[in-house]
Amino acid sequence: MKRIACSLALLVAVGGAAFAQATTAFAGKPAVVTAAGQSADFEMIKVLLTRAKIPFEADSLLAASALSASQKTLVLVAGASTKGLGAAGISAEAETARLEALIKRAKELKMSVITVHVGGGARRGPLSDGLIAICMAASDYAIIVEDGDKDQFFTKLAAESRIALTKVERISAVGAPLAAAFK
Amino acid sequence: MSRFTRAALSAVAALAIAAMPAAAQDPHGRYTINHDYRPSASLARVGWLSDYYPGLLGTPGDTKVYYFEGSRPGGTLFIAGGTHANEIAGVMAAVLILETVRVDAGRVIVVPNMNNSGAGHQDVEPGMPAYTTRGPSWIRLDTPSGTRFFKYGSRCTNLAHQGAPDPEGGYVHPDSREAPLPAWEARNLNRAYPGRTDAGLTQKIAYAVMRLLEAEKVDVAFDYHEADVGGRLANMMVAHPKNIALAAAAVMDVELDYGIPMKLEPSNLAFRGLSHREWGAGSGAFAFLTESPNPAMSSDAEDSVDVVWNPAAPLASRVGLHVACTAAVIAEYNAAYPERAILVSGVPAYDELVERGVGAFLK
Ligand SMILES: [Zn+2]
Repeated sequence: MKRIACSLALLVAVGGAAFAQATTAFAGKPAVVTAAGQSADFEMIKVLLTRAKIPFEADSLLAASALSASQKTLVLVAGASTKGLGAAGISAEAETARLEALIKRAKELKMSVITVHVGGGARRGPLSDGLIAICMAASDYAIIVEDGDKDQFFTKLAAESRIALTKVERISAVGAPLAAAFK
Repeated sequence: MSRFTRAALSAVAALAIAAMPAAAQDPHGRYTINHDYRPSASLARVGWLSDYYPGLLGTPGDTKVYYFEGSRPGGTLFIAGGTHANEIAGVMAAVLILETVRVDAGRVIVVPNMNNSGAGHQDVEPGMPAYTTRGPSWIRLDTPSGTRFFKYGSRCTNLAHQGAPDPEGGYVHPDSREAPLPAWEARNLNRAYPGRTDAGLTQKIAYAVMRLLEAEKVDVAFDYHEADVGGRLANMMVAHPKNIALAAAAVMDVELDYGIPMKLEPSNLAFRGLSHREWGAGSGAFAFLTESPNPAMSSDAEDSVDVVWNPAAPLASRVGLHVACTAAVIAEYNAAYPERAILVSGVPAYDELVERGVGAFLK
C-alpha cells in the first residue's frame, strides 16, 4: 500500500489534452525492451515492467533482425554509459547504428515506441543526448525522471515530435505511467 | 649450521617461549587494534581472517571475523566494512549489524575492519589525495551503555606494514591491461583482489578474503564504501553482472520504501582488482558494493569536518543506506532462492536510524 500511494503521489503528468497518449492506453503487448546506450537503467525498467505484470522480452543489444511482428511495443531505455558500452564491446557509433536500424524495423512492423529516461542529469551529455534525440524522434510517448529535463531538453524534443511527455520525480514512479500506456 | 648450534638455538627459543606469559603466545591480533565491538546474541563464534590464510597470522592485516548463525539452515551473507578505513559509515553499518542482528535461518559473517592496517593510521603521504586520510582519529557515539569510540583510519594499508615499497611507475594489477594507477594504490585493498601470497600485505588480505568466500560458501557478499558528497559514486550500488537483476530490484525497493535515490552500475569487467568484480567472478557469491556520501571525502572539505552529525549527510542516514540496500537485496535473494534463504531481523531500518541515530541501537 505504501508503495502504491508513494508512486501515485509522485506522478506528475505534463503535456495535457493536446496529446491523447498521455491518458489513453495505446501500446500493445508484449513489449520488447532494449538499452539505448547500454546503461544499467535498462535493468531497472525490466524490474518495473515485471512488477507491473506487462509481458515483455528484453535484450540490451537487441538487433533489428530480431524484431518480430508478434512484438507490439518497443521500449527504449535511453541514456549512455561509457562503462556499459565498453563492457558490451560496442562503440558509440555502432550503438547509434543499431538503434537507428531497430527503430526503422519497428516502424515497418507498425510497433508503438516508448522512450524511457530514468538516469536524470547523470545520463545526459553529448553521447546520451544524441541517442535520446534519436529515440524521441521515433517515439509515440516518453516517460522521464524530471531531473533529466532541467534544461527542457526533453520538453523541446517532445514538442517537436508532438508526443506526450510524462515527468516523474524518481525512477520507481516510472512504473505507473509506463504500465498505464499499455492497453 | 652445526648440529650443536641448531640445538642451542632451539633451546634458547624454548626458553624464550617458556618465559613469556601464556596470553602473549597467541599471535592473533598482536599488531592490531582491539576494537570495542559487542556482538548480538546470535553470535556463534569469533574467528580471524588468518584462519583462511596463515600468512596473515600475527600481522597487522589480520582482523576478526564474526559468525552469526540461525537455528535453521539457509544461505550465507558476508558483510565487509572498513575496506577503506576512512569510510566510517561502512565500518559502522557492519558494527550495527554485528551488534543487533538476529539470525533465524542461515548465517551472517561480518568483518567490520576488512583492512585493519588501514584502521590504525592516517598517515599523510606525498601524492595521496587529502580525502584518503581526512577525518578524526576516532568517532564518538553516545549509546545506551555510555559513550563509545570507533576508529577512523586511512584508505590504504600502512606503508610500514605493506612489506614492499610502492611500485615505481605506478600500480598495475597483475591481470590488468589498463594504464598504471598511482603507486599508493598498491596498498588499496579494493584494487588488490583476488590477491596473492607473494606480494604485499594488502594483496595477502585480498587473498584471504577470497579463501573465506570460498570456504564459507558465501551466497551474498557486500562491501560497504563511502564517496564524496554529490560525486558520481555516492548513492551507488555496484553489482557483478551475474547479479545485476537482484541489484536493480533492490535499488527500486529502497527508493520506494525509504526514498533513498540509488544509482546502479554493473562491475566493469576490464577494471581488475575491485571487490564486486573479483568476488563475483572468483567465488559463488553474488557480489555487491554500496557507496554512501561521506562529508570528509569532498574535495572542499575542511580538516575539522564533522563526519557524524554533518547535516548534509549524517552518519545515521549513511549507515541506513547500507543497511537498507543489504536488506533489500536479501529480500529479493530470498524470494528468488527460497531453498537457501537468509532470514534475519533485529537490525534497525533506515527511518529508525535517521530518527534516533546509530548510537541508540548499539550496546
Ligand atoms: Zn571505498
